[in-house]
Amino acid sequence: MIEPTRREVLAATGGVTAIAATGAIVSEASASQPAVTTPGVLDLYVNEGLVRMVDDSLVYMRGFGATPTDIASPRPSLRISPQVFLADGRLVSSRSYPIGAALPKEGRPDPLAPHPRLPGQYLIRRRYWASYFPPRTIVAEVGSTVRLRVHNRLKRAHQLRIDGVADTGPIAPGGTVTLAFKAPVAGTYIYHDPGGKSVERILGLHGVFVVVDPAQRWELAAGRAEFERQWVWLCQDVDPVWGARARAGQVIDPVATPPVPRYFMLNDRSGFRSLGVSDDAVDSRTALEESLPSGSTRDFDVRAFSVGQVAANVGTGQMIRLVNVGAVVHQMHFHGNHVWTLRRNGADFPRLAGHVDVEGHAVLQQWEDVVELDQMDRKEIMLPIRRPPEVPERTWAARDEDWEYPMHCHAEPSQTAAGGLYPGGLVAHWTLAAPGPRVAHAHETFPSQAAFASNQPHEGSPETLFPETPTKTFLRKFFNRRLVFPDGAEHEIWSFEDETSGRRFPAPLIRVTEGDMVHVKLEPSKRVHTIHHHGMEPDPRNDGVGHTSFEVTGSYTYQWRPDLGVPADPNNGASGLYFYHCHVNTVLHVQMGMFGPLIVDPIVHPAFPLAPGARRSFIDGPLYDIATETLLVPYALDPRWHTFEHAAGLSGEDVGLNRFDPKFFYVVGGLLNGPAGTADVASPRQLRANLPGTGHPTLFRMLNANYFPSRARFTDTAGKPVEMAELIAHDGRAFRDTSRPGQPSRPVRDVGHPLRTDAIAFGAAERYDMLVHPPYRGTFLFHVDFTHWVTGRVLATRTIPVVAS
Amino acid sequence: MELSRRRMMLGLGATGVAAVGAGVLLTRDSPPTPSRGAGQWTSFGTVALLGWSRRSLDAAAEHEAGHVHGADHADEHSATTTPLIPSAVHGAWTDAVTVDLRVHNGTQGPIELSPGQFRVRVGGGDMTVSLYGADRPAGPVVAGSTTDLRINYLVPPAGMPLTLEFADALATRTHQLGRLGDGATS
Repeated sequence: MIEPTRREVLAATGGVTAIAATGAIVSEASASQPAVTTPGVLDLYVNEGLVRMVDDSLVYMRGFGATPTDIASPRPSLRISPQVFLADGRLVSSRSYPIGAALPKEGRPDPLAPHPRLPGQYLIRRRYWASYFPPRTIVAEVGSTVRLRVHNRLKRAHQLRIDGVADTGPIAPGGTVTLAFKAPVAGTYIYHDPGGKSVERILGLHGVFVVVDPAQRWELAAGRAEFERQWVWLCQDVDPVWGARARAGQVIDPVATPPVPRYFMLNDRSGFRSLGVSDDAVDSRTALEESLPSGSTRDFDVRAFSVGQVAANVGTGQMIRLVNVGAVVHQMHFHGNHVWTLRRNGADFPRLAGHVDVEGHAVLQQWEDVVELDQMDRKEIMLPIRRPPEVPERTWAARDEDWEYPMHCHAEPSQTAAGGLYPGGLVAHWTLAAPGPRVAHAHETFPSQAAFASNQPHEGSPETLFPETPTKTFLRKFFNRRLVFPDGAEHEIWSFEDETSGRRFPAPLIRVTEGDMVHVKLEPSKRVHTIHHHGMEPDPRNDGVGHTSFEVTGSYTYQWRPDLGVPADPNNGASGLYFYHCHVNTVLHVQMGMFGPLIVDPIVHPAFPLAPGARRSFIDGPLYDIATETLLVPYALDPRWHTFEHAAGLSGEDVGLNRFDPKFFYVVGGLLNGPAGTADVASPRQLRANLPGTGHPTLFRMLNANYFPSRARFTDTAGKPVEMAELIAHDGRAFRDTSRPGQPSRPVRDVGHPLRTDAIAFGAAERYDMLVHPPYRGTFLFHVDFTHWVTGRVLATRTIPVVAS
Repeated sequence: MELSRRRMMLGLGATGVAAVGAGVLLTRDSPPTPSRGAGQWTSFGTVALLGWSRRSLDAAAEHEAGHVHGADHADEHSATTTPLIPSAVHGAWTDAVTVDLRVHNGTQGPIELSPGQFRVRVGGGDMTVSLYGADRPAGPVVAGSTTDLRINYLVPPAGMPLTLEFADALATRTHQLGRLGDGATS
């Protein structure tokens, strides 16, 4: 009885060539029975069921499935396998795209040939490799008509919407709506159920809609970034309490009862499964293919991803479409390489005339080692897969195995599962292939997340391989002590000290210069620790991550050499603000205080000399006043966490490390070149800023050591915003004009486009360097708003006066 | 179908069947109540703790059998289905508990059973523990059948009482399956 109606509907929609952007909608009465498939139409069933989490628990979720299933089904269909709408009208079920392109073994494209001039590097095949996509992906070519038939099998109305593109509107229980629309402009979109604001999306009714120009299948869009292959990373957060309430038929108010995620996933996997090290070999291989970037080292210039290359090869990396359908703000941190951010929510970032948006984000193509991803954000980034810049020459030359680098969310509670089990949350890694022919690499595998979390590699006092004569050496010893904070509160703190610093917080500054051979000796003293020099990109052995190298019980000397800057070169140079921290049970150890600032100063270039009392923040950057250079570090503290043991959560116990509930809020740091204080905790009570014309400008360096997003603001004493900040660098990379391939990339401030603002938004682990330009003599206010990672609510504000003179 | 389900639920309520959510799993052709095996009623049948054992995993004790409690299903010399290799250096717990369980699906359709539905509760407080390993992966239990499984947990040092519980996910209900001794290492 239903069949003829469906066919009529589809014949009608198929015959329409010009369909409104919002889509053509046809409703039908019922879809309680499995639909007969129709060529060219993708059936999506709004189903419910139980989903296995990384700890093997079952959580109630919903989803757009491929077949009708009931809640009790042992294998509920809550997501579709990847589907492709081709411009020629076909709908093809395929994990890979372009259809017919070569499939990269284990997801890794092989290179074309060794680079003729650069030893250990390779030429990359151009327009050759297919990309694997994860479940929930719908690919559509520009020119195709997307035909979806959505069946609501649940007891309440549901909906499918692609914001700004198509919308079924509410579909009654048992109802079906057919939607047909022309594929929009090339880009990344989210399909989701907007019901209950975020509720239905977080319960699982979401997926990714990728639109590709069939004439430019290896580019983000025509004339945009070219890539070797691409990836989709879907960030998802799961709250079982919400699931149980939904299962019970309750209406969830996301404002009154915000979600408290207990599981954090990337492409529907978490922890050891996401990393491809579970005992399930098929699932691990699938994770490699669809979630874990890998490739050979290549030459890379952010000014030109495809220009100036011969036809058969291209100097580009692999593009990742970051999509956050979850409940929290994620902070995607890449070890090994900074990534180049191209676009946000469909709007290309400019390469020259950037600005700071109303939220306080820099809108400009830029390097980042932490990419903020707000809820419903879509960002396209390029992972270069190039030589990690801080690897000393002999170490690089001796490389004979794959180097794996983590990617993890630095909003650290997302690194947990079931309240512990670090690293059991939203993690991945990327691999720099060993030179030479591909070598099968067998990973150790694990039966469970608890087996993985409770047994990370550790060594006593391993040797530093290929040791060089250091030009800078540092010692970092673990300590724990109760410290008195500026508000008089006492907290148990774990941190690092050196020979002279005393037991204070934050840990002492590491300050080096580009080109230094740096040795940092770690003495954990108690249990196991590591040091990850966040933003420095050495070989994995010196990257300080337990599961990709080792944890240290005795001592270890980390070795790295900050990359040398070149004037007007956007591809080189490591000068800027970083930080270092322990990477063992990181979610806990960083919160306990095991971090300190790390600054890399530029080398001095003859064309950019120094001046008395002044320094540059990067090689061709502006001079700033050394005396007023200031570090500002928002840090929020959850006192419950400060009662935990070293390894809390690692054995599988739920200690609630997914629940960060800060009660104390501080801005720590202060003058970087002033006399050492004596207080337990360094925290500025007043800031100084030079007036224009009274010397070189003041440089503020900001690091967010909080797990939630922060927002810094400048106002006058009446609270009126004052646009007195100029952002000059982010995550250790200068903001530059990269608009002209092959031409010098001067700092944006020098080509008439300074990034001036009164507010700066920066999430966990992000850093900004900014010059301060007070408009007049007097007192201004520097505020830091500590916001919640789910609700965005301001939890606290700390204000420090800025005296301009 | 909706009406049939509602009628079924009403019918179950009228007959005093206490299993929460049992009706949800029943289809039009289902019998009024699931069949049962040993142990506690669930929405789909029954779950029983057959036995448990506890042992230390430190090097000296690794090859010594721990104390075994309960039925003969807790085979003293094969209590470990997956080698347990927690790292004391890493800070992980080095005691383990193994539990033997029997699950009966009394409905007329398959049900999903995942070993992670079982958790150890520590000290009667809020803390529960995820599994370390199991001899049966997540998967369906066919209608009318019974399956046994063995699960390992890392547990805190002796002295904290432990209990085992089962999350009946469809019914959103947690069942207390029994004590795992008083926390003392045998």
